[in-house]
Amino acid sequence: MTVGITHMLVVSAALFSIGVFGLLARRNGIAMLMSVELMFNGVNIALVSFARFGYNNRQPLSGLAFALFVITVAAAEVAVAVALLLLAYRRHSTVQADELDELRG
Amino acid sequence: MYNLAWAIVLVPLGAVGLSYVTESPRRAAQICIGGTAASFVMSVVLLIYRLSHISQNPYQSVITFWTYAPGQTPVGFIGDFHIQVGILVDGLSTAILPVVTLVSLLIQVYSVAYMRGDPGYRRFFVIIGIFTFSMLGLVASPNLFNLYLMWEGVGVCSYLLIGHWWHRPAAAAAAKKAFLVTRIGDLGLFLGIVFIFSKFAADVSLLPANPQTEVNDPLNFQILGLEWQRVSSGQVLGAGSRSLVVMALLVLLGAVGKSAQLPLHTWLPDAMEGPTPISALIHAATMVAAGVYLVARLYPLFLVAPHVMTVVAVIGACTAVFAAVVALAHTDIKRIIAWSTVSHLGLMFTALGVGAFTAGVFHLFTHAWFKALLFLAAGNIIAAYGTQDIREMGGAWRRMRGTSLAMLAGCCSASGVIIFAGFWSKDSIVAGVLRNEFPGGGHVSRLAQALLLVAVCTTSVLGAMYPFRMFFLAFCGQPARRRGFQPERVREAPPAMLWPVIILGVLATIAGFIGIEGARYTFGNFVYTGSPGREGFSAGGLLLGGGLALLGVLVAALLWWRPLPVLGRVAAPVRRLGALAADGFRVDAAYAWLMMRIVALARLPVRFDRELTDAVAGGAVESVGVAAGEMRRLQTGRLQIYAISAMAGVVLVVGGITLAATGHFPGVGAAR
Repeated sequence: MTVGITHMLVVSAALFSIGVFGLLARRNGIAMLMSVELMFNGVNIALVSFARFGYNNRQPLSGLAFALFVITVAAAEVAVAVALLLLAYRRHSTVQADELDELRG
Repeated sequence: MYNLAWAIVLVPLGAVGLSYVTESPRRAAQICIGGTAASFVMSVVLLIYRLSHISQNPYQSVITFWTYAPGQTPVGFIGDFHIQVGILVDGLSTAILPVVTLVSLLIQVYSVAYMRGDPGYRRFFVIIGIFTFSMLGLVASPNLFNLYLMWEGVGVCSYLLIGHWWHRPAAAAAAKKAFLVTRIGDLGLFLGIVFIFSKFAADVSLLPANPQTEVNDPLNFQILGLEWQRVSSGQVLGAGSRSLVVMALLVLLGAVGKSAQLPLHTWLPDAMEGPTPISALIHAATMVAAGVYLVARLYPLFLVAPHVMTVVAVIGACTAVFAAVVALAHTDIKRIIAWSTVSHLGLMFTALGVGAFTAGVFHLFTHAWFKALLFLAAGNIIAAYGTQDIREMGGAWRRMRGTSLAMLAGCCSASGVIIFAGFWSKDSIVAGVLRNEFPGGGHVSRLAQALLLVAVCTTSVLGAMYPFRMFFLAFCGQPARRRGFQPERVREAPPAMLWPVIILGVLATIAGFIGIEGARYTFGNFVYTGSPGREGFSAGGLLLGGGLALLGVLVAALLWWRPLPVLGRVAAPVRRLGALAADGFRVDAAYAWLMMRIVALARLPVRFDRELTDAVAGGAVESVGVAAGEMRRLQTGRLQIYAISAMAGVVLVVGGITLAATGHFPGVGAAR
């Protein structure tokens, strides 16, 4: 059995869905952040597989390049998000999302 | 030679400018006085020259400052509009110029002593200089535009001078009142000028150009004189006798405001809040004379609108009687003289209204002397006694002989006692009412004439009573006793304040002799702008006017000098009327009431604003608030709910696009 684009996309969708579930189900800020990373990775697998299986032959590297950008931005995002969570923890002694509700209208 | 009038008008203004060269206010005052004195000398020279060349046409010299839309056919009614200022030398202006300059000169000399130590010394003299300039410019102006300019200048200067002691609330209020009340009249004059221009501009542009003015200015008095004749004979398109009546009424409104005639008289008595020399200046030569002068200057207009002549006469007569009654009730010496001015101006209007042009101008001439005299003498006695109430004075005769003699001459002149200046002019007014004939034919109706005659006779009696009441109470008898006042300290005024009074006293005595027969005909010939009227000698007027004046003096003497008990008892019930009269018959209160009603009208828009506009605005604000209150519930503060909404949004958008792209929506995207 050769691994085709379908398999890759199934893995990608599974990773993305797990990420979405984790983001919606978990209350812990760190865990939510990790879920978001899962979603990034799902998307990355989709981009890489599209590149690999050649859906854009005129620019064969664009999918890979885009994936690299996503990784970079994700790293930056993690740095900022973790810093924010650290500050939130210092201030409120918690990173539980349902306890950080000061902006409730 | 006639161009000397330029210098007469401009020298006082130049002196004002020059007076700023020096640091010292006293030196500045001397420069201003010098300017006025030079102007006086030149105006006398001009008068003599004009008298010796009486048959020459009026001379005018104008400068065109600016031309609007030259040579174009009129669009609307402003086509070829020239702004010209200049001088007009004719009998009327040359006769009035020396009066203005001399009165102003004497008053400035008087003020040197009267205003000594005043913090606004320099300002006072500067504004008097500008005031004199404005009045001279008004008298010498060759067109309505120039006249209106100077008219406003006079108004502003009187405002500034009445409010000279602006830190006193009463003075500030009186200044504002004078400005606002005369403004009503000014508006009338302004509308009149605009109306005259709009009616005549098209017609005048067809006339051959006037060599003296180079262009045809529809506001020029010479051209206007022609136009009025053309209108009354129906030669001007779009203007008829009704237009003339409207013009005359609007101009009359201006004159009524400036000369304090009946509906608009309230500002003049209040103007007493200014320094006494200013009262003299405003009452004698400048401000209030401007209204009478305006009517005299535009007399041809009134002649072609004869019904307005009756209005002029009736307004004047009503004012004369009204003001004489009020003057009789007052105890404030300056207010008595102020109301007497209103009364005398009323007489002048009456004279002009019945066609006695010469009498009106003649009374303007004599009135200037005795009114300036009365005010300056009153200033002396006020300074000596430190009060303005005549009941607190008394006995000045023995201590202030010079002032008292001058005052007596002034009172005699104002009352029209035989020989004195006022006698000749007052008697010519009575004669004019008896004759009742306009210079160009026509007359006031007989009923109106009878009423006018009654009014003039009443004024003659009353007009002799109130000056002598003032004289007997303030100058005869014994000084009233009051706290902090020592009669021994009363002494004659300093020479700078005494000499002007004495010069004016002499003038008030002899100035009437130009009005005696023969000479008066010359005076009438000289001042009248059109063809001279036949204002001959009238024994009836002489006897009636003079007799009634003597009767008035007699009554006053019996009431206040050597009181007769019988008369006192008769007068007692009348006294009750006195309080009402002293209040000016509550005209001020009535105006205040009327104003309040008008202000009440203004509450309607306020209610509209408060109840409708505010409701709309408030409702808008509130609805935004309510909407925001509802919307804020969306902000739950729960991160997961935000995430779910974001996901749902992504699903909706991406799903919608996918479905559309795969052709699930009819008419959108690819076919299936």
